[in-house]
Amino acid sequence: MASASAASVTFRALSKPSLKSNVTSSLKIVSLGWRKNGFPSLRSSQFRISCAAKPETLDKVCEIVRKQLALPAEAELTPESKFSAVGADSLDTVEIVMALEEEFGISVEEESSQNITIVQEAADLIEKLVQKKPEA
Amino acid sequence: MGGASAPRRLSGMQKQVLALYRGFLRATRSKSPDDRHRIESIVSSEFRRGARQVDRKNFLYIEYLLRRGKKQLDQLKSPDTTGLSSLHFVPPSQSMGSRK
Amino acid sequence: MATGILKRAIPIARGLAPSQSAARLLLARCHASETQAQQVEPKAKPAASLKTFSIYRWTPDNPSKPELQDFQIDLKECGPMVLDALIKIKNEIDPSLTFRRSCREGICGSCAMNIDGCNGLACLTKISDGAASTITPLPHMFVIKDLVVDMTNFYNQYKSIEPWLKRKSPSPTPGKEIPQSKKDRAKLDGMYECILCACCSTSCPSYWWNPESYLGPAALLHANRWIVDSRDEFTKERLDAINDEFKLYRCHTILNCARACPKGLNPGKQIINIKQLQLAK
Repeated sequence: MASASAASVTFRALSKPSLKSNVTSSLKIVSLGWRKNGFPSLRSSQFRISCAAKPETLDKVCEIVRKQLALPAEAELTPESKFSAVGADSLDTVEIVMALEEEFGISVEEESSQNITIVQEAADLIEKLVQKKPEA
Repeated sequence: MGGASAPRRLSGMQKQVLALYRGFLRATRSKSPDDRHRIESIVSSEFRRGARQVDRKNFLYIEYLLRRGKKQLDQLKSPDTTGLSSLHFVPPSQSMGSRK
Repeated sequence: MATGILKRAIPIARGLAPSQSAARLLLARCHASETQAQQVEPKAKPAASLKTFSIYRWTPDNPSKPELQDFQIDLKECGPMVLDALIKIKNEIDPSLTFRRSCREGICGSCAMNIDGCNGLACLTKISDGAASTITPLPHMFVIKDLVVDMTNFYNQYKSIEPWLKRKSPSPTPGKEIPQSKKDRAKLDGMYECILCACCSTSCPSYWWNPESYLGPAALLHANRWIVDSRDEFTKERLDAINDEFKLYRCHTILNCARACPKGLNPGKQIINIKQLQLAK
């Protein structure tokens, strides 16, 4: 998920991260991987949108994780932090996902919630679900 | 259950336990804030006690706990249910002799 | 009968530690009652007729593997039925032995269990002549404790057939019961007697393999009871609701149900009736 975390850094510079900026910056990242082919296809960049979470989302996720696990202020928590590395067991992970659900007003399915092990994955999934929500 | 170690693949039974835990937490959302807080703390401590104390190979017992939990969850889902309580039974000393 | 095949693995502990400890306990009790008896009436006791009951034991409070525990009792000091023996064991040897019982006359259906390989009500089953008997919970049911099984699924299946009178038209005389001819009433014989003890369903191999999707003989017997009822006006809907590969057609007329029924009913026959009505529809 190196590309996704790089995206979050890119966004930090943008004042208003809209859906559009999302696409462009994602394009940049994708293009790295597609250099050999000359130009990236739009489709692959569309696909990437779901993997690049906004910094606010990441911050909020970190905040919730800190609260759920009662982490001290000095404890380090980055997008790549594994929940298990900061002392969360599988039950804590369930609690974190439930808290995220309420915070973002989404519903995480059983299957996908079991694949969340790091902050970044949680943020990505949230973005995907938040985007989907108006359609549903 | 619930070790803090490696990203180990979860067994089917572990998934069921986590799904049950999720179900409980979801069910508490429909309760009043006070009730919810109380129920959540009981549910959480019950699951954590299980994770600590239950032998992870004792499938018969874990299945029993799962079924019991599912039943309790069904009851909790009823809007009339406002609370949960837990009772901890300490088995009598084995010196009674008749049980092994 | 095939009900003797249990899914649960039961380590047979006969003659091992549990039986010894049980015997020891029994011995201690004998001494106690002897001294008492000598004080009151020093009459010679008739020769004891001992019988061993091997009873399935498992409790969630002490979560080890299930086992058969032996209890020896004197039949001379015990009632004639298996339930009498169980109550005697609970009263005199091990109060932690757990089983359901209520009416002790075969009308409540609480004490259904597997006795010497056959499902039946402990209160209607005579203690057999042999030197030993084995008592286990109803086969293929989840055990809650010792002989007590989880009936949730069984009851939910009963509930699913909507066991109540359903009408489309109002009652002929409002506020009064709906009359039925003697002939129509007679059609319910062989079904209304069912006490839902689950002996039949838990003796059915089909039910063992598909305990959730197949309704089982007891629920289907009750389905037929309402299908056949002259006052019920949802006959077609009822037939449609169970016209399902699994719900109904997992019955392969093995007829263990009829052999197991402590009330002498024949659920298999009622299921055949449903199948015939499905064809005639």
